[in-house]
Amino acid sequence: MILWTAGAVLLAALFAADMMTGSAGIRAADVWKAMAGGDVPEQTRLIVMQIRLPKTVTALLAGMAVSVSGLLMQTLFRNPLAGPYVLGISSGASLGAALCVLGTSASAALAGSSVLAAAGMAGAAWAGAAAVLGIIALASRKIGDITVILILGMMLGAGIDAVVQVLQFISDEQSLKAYVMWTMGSLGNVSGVRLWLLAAAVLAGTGMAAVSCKPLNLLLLGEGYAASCGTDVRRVRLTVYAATVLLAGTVTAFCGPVGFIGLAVPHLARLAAGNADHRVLIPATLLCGGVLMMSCDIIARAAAIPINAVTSLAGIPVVIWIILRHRR
Amino acid sequence: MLEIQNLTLGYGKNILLRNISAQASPGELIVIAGRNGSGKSTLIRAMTGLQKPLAGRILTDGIDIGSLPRETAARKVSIVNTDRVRIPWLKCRDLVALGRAPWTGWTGRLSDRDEEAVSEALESTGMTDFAMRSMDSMSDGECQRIMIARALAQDTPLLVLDEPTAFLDLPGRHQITALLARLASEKGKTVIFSTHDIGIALQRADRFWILDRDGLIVRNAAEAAADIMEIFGIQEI
Repeated sequence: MILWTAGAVLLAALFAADMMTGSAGIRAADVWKAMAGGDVPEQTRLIVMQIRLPKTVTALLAGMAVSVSGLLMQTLFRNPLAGPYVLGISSGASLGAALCVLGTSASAALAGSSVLAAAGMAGAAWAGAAAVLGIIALASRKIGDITVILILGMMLGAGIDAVVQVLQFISDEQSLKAYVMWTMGSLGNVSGVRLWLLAAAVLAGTGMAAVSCKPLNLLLLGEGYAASCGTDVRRVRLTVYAATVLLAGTVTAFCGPVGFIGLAVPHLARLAAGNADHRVLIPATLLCGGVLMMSCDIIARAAAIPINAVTSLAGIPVVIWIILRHRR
Repeated sequence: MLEIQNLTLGYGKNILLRNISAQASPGELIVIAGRNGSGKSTLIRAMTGLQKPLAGRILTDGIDIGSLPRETAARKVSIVNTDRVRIPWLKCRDLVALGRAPWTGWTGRLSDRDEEAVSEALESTGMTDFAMRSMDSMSDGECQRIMIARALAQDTPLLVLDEPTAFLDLPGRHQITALLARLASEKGKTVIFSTHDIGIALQRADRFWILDRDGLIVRNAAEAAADIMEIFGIQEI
């Protein structure tokens, strides 16, 4: 209980800190006033409400989403190194997004906040993520060895990245620039319709994970045991796949490929909770995901570097720790 | 009461067991013996209702296990399979509690009755002291006891185990076999397990189901040794 309270306080503190951080030097008191509807210059209010708030909320939601999708993949594939990034799901989503960015004119896809453009981008990413997940799922039915599946996922990811490179090569300069910006990851392009779509996807994906908490716990034992305990394994697998596509696909579409958070956070959540029970782990993962992503965003904003670089640098030590821990 | 009636098992055209029949009563300890590839694991999977027979059926208390919804089947038969389960951060007590799944609601929250069943399962397997430990720091024999405790917590009249002694040292093999014999006689469960440790099994089992090319033959422990030696083509056990 103390840990939960501490986590919630930390999350709130980071939210506030994230709101304070930015290139425009706005005093903490003014940020608060702008949010509370107090008396501040119009420009300050715009920056706080139109730029910083959406960006901070996006960091929170994106961190939660990729972390829960990582947790789901690790449980389903019974492997500590599974995650949307490693399994190539993020790459699949980025191919969908790339087709969208490079295919349409960049201004329409990125700057346009129309419902259609946002839904199109998300839809393309969902389709890409679902396609890769479908291939991985099919392969895992035939191949029992999870190491082979992980390598397959990485190869798929690398292959898709190569296809994307070809797309970049043949696309015009403007689209290319937009795409390169997208690959660096950005939490700043999500507002209006996109933010609502992201929030809805996170809510739906997390909800699907939450109602599956009992079968997810049973899947820790393996599919054979889960089925012998009364679980409809096929249905659970489909639910979890759909949740992953929603969570990882939407974030990839709107924020670019966010590396390593999805892989690392579930381990931090297990460490913090000292538990493997999904009824505890799902909220713990949401909390840790939000905390880590907002921390990364604060660093990225303060140092003015791409978010993807920060998440990788933060996540990689955790991954190395996992490998060393599971060595025996 | 378990009845196997004219059961044929296999995968597509590859038939492993043809037209076998057998019965098992509450309190009986039955050992499935046979060479690798003779269909031991497939027969065990079929008894849980997870492997569809090509022909025939398996009845528990007169009902075809294959026709039952998964959750109902999970209240009839529990299994310990050959999967190696080592879950970091999961305490043994929580793992055993997963066995209560067929009896709990959608969140898996345990009632007082469930908690009681978990404690009892830990006690029956002599694992009460391990309740708060996690499996990644335990020996293979201790882990196997926890998996048996999980199956016990499922509270089914039938308990089937696929080579439960395979990865254990000699004392471990004797202890687990003795534990299974005790569970059958004291709890009145039907316990069926496959093993290659025929010598140990001969001391404990009530009956043998011996699998070979001709199907399944049922023998009492006293008369099993000769048939097993003949089928396996060996001089002594």
